[in-house]
Amino acid sequence: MKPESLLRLYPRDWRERYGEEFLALVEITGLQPADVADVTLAAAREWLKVLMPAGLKFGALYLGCWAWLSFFGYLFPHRAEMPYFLAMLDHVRAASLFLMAALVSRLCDRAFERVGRGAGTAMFRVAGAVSALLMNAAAYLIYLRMPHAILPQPDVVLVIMLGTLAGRTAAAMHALSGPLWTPRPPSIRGLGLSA
Amino acid sequence: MSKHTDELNDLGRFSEPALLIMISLADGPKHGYAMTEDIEQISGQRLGPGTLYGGITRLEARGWIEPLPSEDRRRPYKLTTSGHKVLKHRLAAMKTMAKIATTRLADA
Repeated sequence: MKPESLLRLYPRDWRERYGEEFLALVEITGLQPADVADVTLAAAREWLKVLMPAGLKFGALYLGCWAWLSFFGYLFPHRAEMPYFLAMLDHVRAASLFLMAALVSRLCDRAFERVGRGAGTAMFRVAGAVSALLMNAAAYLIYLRMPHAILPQPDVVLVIMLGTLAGRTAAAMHALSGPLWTPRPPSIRGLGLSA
Repeated sequence: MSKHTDELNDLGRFSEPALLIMISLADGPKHGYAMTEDIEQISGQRLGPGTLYGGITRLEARGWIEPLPSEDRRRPYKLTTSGHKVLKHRLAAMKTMAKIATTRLADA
């Protein structure tokens, strides 16, 4: 495998920063099969840093999904006769769809930000919000078609989807037209200044 | 455990490679290939290019190493002042643990 091909696995920002020295290293050391696997995994981790919001570790997101799933699972008494872990498997499969939708949506956002740097960036953020809703809607529709899909709580998922859309749309509107609220000017007394 | 050793642990699976990179840079700046060779010599471990640059990326992001200007593609790095402190604290903690372990083994 050519070193240049391996470098393409990394995000563009990473390549721009470290690409030349990475290639210089690999051209001297050569590439063993273990090195190809090592670089592939490292590149995947760099992509995760791109996809995850700043400060939020992938593990925390994963655990948050599991916690939500566990709570969700207890809400269905008609599943009581099934072994718990079998009921959980369905929820794990369903939750993975939402997680994938969130990751893909995040990827779209970052791509939009990159492409739209400068004029039109805010419009791309609105497009990112719409794409988030569409991705989650598609994941939800696939979830409904899965065997053992649980129907009684669609409103919970709908609230989550609408909340995501509302938050993202507010951020886009903020970018388009300025703050949605007017910050209260600081009080002169609070600053300790005399009038 | 001091704040500095907590910060090194925050690097997750890259904490050990990061420590090896910092040890390698402790005696002066090196580029990637020199680090790889030095780490293999001192630890017996050969870091793959992905692991090496994963560690370099994270260390640079934390300000513990910094790149130096270079005329060719190979870019040398050096430990920063804060990097020195982090490494020093981590090695002090490891020295304490090694002493306790050695004593316990001797007493066993």
